[in-house]
Amino acid sequence: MIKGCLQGRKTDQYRLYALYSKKMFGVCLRYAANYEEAQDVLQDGFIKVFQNLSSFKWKGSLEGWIRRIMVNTAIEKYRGKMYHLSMEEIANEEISINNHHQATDILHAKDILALVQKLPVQYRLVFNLYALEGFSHKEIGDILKISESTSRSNLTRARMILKDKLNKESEVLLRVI
Amino acid sequence: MDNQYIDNRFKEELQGLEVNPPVETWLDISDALDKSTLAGRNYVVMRAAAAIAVFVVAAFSLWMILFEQSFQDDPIVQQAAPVSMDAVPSTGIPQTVNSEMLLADLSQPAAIGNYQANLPQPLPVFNSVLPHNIQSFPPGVPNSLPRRSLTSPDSHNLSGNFQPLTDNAVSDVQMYLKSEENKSFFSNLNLGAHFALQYNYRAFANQSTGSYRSIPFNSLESQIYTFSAGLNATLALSSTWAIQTGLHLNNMGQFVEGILAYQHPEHKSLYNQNQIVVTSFGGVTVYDNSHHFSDQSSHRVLDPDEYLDPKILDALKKTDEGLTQVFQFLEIPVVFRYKLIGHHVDLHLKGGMTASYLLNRDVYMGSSIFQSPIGQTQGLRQFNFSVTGGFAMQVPIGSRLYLNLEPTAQLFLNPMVQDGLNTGTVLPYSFSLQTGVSYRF
Repeated sequence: MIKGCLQGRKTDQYRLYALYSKKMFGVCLRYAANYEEAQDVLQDGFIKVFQNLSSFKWKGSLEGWIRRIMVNTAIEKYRGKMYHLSMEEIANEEISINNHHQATDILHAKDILALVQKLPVQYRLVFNLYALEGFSHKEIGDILKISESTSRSNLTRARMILKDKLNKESEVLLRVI
Repeated sequence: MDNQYIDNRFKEELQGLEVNPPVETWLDISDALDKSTLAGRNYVVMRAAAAIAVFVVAAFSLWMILFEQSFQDDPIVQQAAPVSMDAVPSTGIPQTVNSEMLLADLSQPAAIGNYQANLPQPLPVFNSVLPHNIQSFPPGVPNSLPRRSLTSPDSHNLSGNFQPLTDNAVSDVQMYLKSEENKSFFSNLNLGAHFALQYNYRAFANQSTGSYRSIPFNSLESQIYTFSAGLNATLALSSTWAIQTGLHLNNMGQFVEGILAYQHPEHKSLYNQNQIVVTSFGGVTVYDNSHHFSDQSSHRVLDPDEYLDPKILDALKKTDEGLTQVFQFLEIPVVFRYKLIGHHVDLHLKGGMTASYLLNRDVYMGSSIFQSPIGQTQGLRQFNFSVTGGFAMQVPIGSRLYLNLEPTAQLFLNPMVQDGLNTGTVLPYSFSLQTGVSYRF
């Protein structure tokens, strides 16, 4: 299949796409603000995969390599859109911290995903890279070209927003139930 | 709710998240890959191909220049520099040379020089003048497939993101893949026709070492413009390589300068035997015996051993000047094409071999071939082989119809003159711009 992809055979390229597109679209949805943007990231990412497949050295898993390309494509897309929230903007965000461990468990994946997608772009990137990809703040700083302290700050803000929204969503659901 | 709980909660739900992307995403990726052949490794191949093409053209040009130079350096040829037109006898009947006299003279280089110094100057040169863009869907993709629409972004709100593929869409993609896998021979075939205006001349691979070494063919012969036409079939071997063949009718040849034709006013036959005119392509046997041919610039006319009454000679009138030799070939080329650029307009590099069968070897008086031939070139090889190269540009003018523009060079590999007069090794070549249309199945 990989040989066929390198030779430009469409059927093999489609097989590779079909094998990984579902997982990679999940990754793209986490980094994107909405469905259409995730679709763009997936498309650009797979074009890079096929154009650079010859450079894959088989030292790690192919899935990991494709995943890194998707993450990098998403970061490239959103790095330029990152902006620093002013203190006023931060203050205006309504954040209330409650303890609703049990209530949040009733939320489904799509609801959780929606909460991440609604995060401001710089918070979303840092939260994804730290909590889901496992990068350190130093690595995130290098990737996003921000300082380590900014990365820590963004993660803290992301967590606060997520906790608040998680609680609100849970309360709504509990009332319905 | 501590930080660890938040991180773990999101990680649990999102890390293994799998969502079916929309069907049209693959089609957009496929289209983008088709249009990006310049990118990546193909760009390197394209640069290599372009470098090879430049090298071949440069080598060919250098080769031509060197042959020209070696010919001009020939001491005998230098002595053969023609003199003035005023040297033409006032009677209007220029001196012609008997073949025996010519052979005798040529055995004495000094004599040759003296003889040629008295030859009249060549006349001015009169050349014979004769006259793939698809939309986002690749071909074969059913139109029922949904396309991404950015006009209604709300149609894909989050709650609607987890929709499975519809049965119709899955079926359409499967059909598309099946059709891609089962592409038949004809789906890779491209049929077309072309017409080309063509520049024709010849190169000397070796100078003549025989009896006619002293004749400065290079300055007494010149290029002609002709045409070629043909039918072509191209079969795609891969996304970048294709093989092309066809059936072509190709006219090549040259113009022979300084040969004057005289005719009896009453068109009476002057000779019982044929005159022969020596050219670099061998001897032209003139069947029209009502003409008397004379060489103004060298000693290329071999008269039959017949006595022509001086009274008749005085009565002859000049009718034309120069001869046009035309060689008509039926050709079967086998050419490989490599796609250099595959955007809206395709650009291919092409190269291959051509087998040529000589159909016609007529010779015409003057520069027009739209008249009856007066003779034929003798001793030519019936089967010949040549090398062909150039570029091919395909411009889409319809869904499957293409306009083709192909600058093409052709050089014969074997000497055309097989036997008869020993005038050296002559290789015809041509430059043409093939223009035509083709249909892709």
